[in-house]
Amino acid sequence: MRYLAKKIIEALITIFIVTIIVFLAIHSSGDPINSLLPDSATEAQRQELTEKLGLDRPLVEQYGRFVKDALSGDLGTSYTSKRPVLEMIAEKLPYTFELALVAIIIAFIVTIIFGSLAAIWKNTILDRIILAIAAFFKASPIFFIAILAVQLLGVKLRVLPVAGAGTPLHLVMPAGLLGLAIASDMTTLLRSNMIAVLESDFIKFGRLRGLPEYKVILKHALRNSFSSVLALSSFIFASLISGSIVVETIFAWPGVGILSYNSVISRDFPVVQGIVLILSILTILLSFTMDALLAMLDPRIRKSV
Amino acid sequence: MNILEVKNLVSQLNTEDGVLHIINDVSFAVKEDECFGIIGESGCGKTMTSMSILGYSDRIGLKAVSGEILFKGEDVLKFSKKRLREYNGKEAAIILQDPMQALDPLFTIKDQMIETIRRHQKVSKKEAEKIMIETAESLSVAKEKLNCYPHQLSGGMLQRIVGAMVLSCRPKLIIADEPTTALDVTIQLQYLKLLKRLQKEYHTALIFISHDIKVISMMCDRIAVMYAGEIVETGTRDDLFYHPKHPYTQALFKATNIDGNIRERYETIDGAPPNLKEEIAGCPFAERCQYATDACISGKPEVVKINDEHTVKCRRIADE
Ligand SMILES: Nc1ncnc2c1ncn2[C@@H]1O[C@H](COP(=O)(O)OP(=O)(O)OP(=O)(O)O)[C@@H](O)[C@H]1O
Ligand SMILES: [Mg+2]
Repeated sequence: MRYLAKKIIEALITIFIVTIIVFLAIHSSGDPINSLLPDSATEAQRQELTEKLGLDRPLVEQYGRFVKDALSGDLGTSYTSKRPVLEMIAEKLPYTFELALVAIIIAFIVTIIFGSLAAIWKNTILDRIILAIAAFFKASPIFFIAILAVQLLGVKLRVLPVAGAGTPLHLVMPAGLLGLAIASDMTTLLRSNMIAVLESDFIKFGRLRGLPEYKVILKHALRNSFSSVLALSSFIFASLISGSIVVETIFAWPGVGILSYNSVISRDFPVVQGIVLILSILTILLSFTMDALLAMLDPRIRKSV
Repeated sequence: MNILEVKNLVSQLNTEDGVLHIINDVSFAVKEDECFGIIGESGCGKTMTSMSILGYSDRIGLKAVSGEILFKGEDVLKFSKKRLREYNGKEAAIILQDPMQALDPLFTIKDQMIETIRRHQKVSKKEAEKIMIETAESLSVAKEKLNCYPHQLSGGMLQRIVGAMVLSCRPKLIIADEPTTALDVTIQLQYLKLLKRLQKEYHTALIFISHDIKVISMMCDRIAVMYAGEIVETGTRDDLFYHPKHPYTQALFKATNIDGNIRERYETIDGAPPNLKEEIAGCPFAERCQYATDACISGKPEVVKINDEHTVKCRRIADE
């Protein structure tokens, strides 16, 4: 229980810090008045709007109001669309969820298969190929790979739709790319971990007890090396979020990513703040889930709970 | 009857900086029911020898160049993968040095024991559980401990659990590779007595590996002395204690007497074991031996038979 309490307090502090940083960053990088009013607007009109939006108040007060409203479940109204921010996000969230979930599943499957193969056959051609592909995905910006994929699969071969949502086929490229981008880090991590695990005494003893190789690998080696990948979850979600903004924009996937891109561009403060708040809550919930999964997998962690 | 015969085994390890001559013409035999000791200082090849006996040498990059390892007359070096999986655990098993590392930390003791038992015996889960509890009891492992995870138990308890796991499949040969070096001194003796009793009770052959004369002499009926990948002398415990022939054995046993009153640990011998990178033309101990002659350095000594059990590889004895 104390473990849980500690985690929750940590989470609250994280959310607090993240929202403050974003708040400061966006406020210090220009105000929305210019994009909301036509160029011909008078100084008086500008003044009026600034006051109306409360942008003339000290930053501390503005932030305080944001927190107060957020605690009562009100994330404000969009400057540009004049709609409640919560409603706008709720509309987009399922799409991002779908994209992220499929991407994570793809990432885990790819990691387990290729990370294990590379570890078992380390320093062979297979291993080198897997490592090279992982390095390619790690080094190339995701938009670059996305454009290559669009050119090849969407334009040349015409096997996949290049934009939009609706059918499972629409999901293949964005979720696949996002999944592979995350998997590239996870695969190399799983590989190096499994190589170490495969050299440990309990694997040797497992084989010398006569256990068949599939059991040694799938039951003992994989499980022991996978916990380190799960422990990396916060990192995974960070790249998931940043990656999804890029992928959604390129493939016109109607999710939170595009919404956040557009609202940053138009300095729609309430929307940006709302998205950041909700995404950080989601990230923390997800990393709770991963911690729980990790605890399920590893009794040594369970004990310290 | 010999359960195991190692004949003229020569094995090399391929490393990044060249070939190491790890096992150099090793021969010995282990009888059913006996406890056979291998003693030698760190790095002389004891663990490599046991890995070879278990057919595990390929996995660690150790290649048998010549010789054979006969288990009940069958050459382990020629075992197929399938045959090897039958052999490991069911016919020949090992107790590793560090019990804390030997078990998977993510599974309970029970899970891993049942897994082992059902791997080798066609029994139901219930029956396997019965076998597990019986074997655990004979090693004084309480039933409740079986539901624990490895990190919850002490080294001494874990080593008994490993022992139970190994014995639960009733192997004909058990190798114990320095099984107590990772344990507290107080637990060591207790564990060794238990191991000795069970070896008699289960009628299994035991190869006991150690660098500790006190422990070896307490456990073993016959002893082989290993030096730089060679066995330089083999004999019964009494042969080696009262009539050690090889200068290395003599140095090793000098400060010890058979009644178990160890006056001090064996005196350190000047010099270091030879580099395994080069093939040694003569006796591996020649460089450190006070009796060494030119012949010792240039040519391998013959194996001299003192009596039925006692053999020694030394020119000085051969010349007598
Ligand atoms: N991976 C390796 N690379 C290079 N040399 C190795 C490797 N593994 C073992 N050796 C060498 O093989 C020789 C035999 O090792 P082995 O483990 O059999 O010794 P040992 O008699 O069991 O020693 P100890 O009492 O320390 O356990 C040693 O000289 C060691 O340096
Ligand atoms: Mg050893």
